[in-house]
Amino acid sequence: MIDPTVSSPQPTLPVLFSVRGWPAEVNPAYITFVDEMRSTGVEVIDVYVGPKGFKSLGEWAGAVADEIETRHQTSESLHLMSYCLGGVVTQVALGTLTDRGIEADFVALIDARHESPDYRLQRGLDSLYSVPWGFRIRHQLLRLTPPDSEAVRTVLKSVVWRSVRSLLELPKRGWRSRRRVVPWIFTEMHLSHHWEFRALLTPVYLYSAASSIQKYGDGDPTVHMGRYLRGGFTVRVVEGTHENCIEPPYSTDLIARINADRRAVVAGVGAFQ
Amino acid sequence: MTEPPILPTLYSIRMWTEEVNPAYITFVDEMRATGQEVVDIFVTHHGYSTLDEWAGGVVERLLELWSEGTELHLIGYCGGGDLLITALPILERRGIHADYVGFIDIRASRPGDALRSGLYSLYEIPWSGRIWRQMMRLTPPDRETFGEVAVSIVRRSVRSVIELPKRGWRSKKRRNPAIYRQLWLEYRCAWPGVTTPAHLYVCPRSVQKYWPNDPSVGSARTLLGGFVIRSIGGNHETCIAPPYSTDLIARINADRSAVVSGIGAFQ
Repeated sequence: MIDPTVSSPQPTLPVLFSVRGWPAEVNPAYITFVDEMRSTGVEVIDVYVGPKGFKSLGEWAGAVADEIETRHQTSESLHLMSYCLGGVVTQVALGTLTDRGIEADFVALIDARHESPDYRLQRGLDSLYSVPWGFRIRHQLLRLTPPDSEAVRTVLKSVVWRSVRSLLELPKRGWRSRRRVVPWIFTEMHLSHHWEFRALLTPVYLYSAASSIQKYGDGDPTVHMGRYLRGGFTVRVVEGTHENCIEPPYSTDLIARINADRRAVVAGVGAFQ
Repeated sequence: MTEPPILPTLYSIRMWTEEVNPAYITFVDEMRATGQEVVDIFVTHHGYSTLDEWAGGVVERLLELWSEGTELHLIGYCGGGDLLITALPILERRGIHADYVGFIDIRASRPGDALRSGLYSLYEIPWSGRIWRQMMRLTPPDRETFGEVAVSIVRRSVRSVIELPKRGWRSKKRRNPAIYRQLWLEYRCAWPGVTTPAHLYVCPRSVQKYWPNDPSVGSARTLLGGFVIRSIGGNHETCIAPPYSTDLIARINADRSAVVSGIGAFQ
């Protein structure tokens, strides 16, 4: 077996655009991760556009796409990387870039995920973020369709059960309790929960933590991203949890893995040829 | 391209009989001519009442032929690919994860297209199956509007009523006896979620014809373990015949070599 993280000679890698969803105050670990990646000799440009002032995730991601387009040398191939919410923003920004005729040659999404419709329902996230009813119904319909194919009775039961729970909690919590709102992440979460994602045709490398697959994916290695990735994807299961997979000691292997995948792409022997 | 090294045995899953699709038999022979061992697995559909049961029969046959502990390489074309995609979760449940899986030009039928072509009626799909298939059209990422879906159902119903005096109820004229029962089994089944990664060899014409804007031709929803798409020459019928088959075989051998060397798409 060849160790894919060891290859020589190493071709020079293009600039890596790192799309960030959270500000440095919310997630300083990712800033450190990017610095650690830079210390391996690769150039990384941090792309961060705050969510304030945007009415939708599409608008926000459009501004991110503008930023990438402005800073990217068109002669060079486009490599993108993002983590957590940044992955979701990148997913939308990629669609915008494709519409503009710009195709990324390498896209890495580190432990990015979509919540399953059942998870959103049980946690009351649709209510918390005031998601329109049409959207909620469409998402619950997903549960009835393959590959999940839950029974109508199971879906209805979970909806009724959640409604009863909401009613019981009403006197204690009130209508749309403000106590559940985390102010420093609310805008980002509100925008992302309101967005109905399109299919993405760009192939993607997913670096997913095993614990996230188990905890949020219900065994789906893409953690519910797969439905949208129609151009192909490959899953690299990484060490650690969602929070610490980008920190030492796990970050070292993850960076080596990303660099190896990028080198393979540059050499024309990447997963997607 | 240089001759590939000797690779593990490739198990080829076939749905159609030799009489229905002789081209695939020739394709397998052409693959063998490159020095690779290919085992043709054909289990007739007779006696099975669902595609899942039929795929179970295929798995039993495969396990008789495959030696545990050796690498498992699988391939399927057209209906054979549909059988293979149904067989994979059965293997996964038994703790067997294939090292290489190749699908040559497989496709899922688009619920809207199947409705328009009257395939639900032709293959006697139960009403519950018809309903969830149309519901799929409302869900993301395709997200057709309720109005669009409702109009297409009404239009199809009106057309069926108009054609009734000419064609009769469930016209037998539309049935091709050589393939009817196999397709009957296939249309009644939903593709399950598969966590084994796969290589898709897809004709761009199939994408254009059957599922524009989905290079996986409807497979993405099912392949949860990852997939790569290799665009191949020809159309659905000719891609496995010369001259296109030469490149396709070289591509398959190269992908299998990469898997054996540990540098494949899925590591």
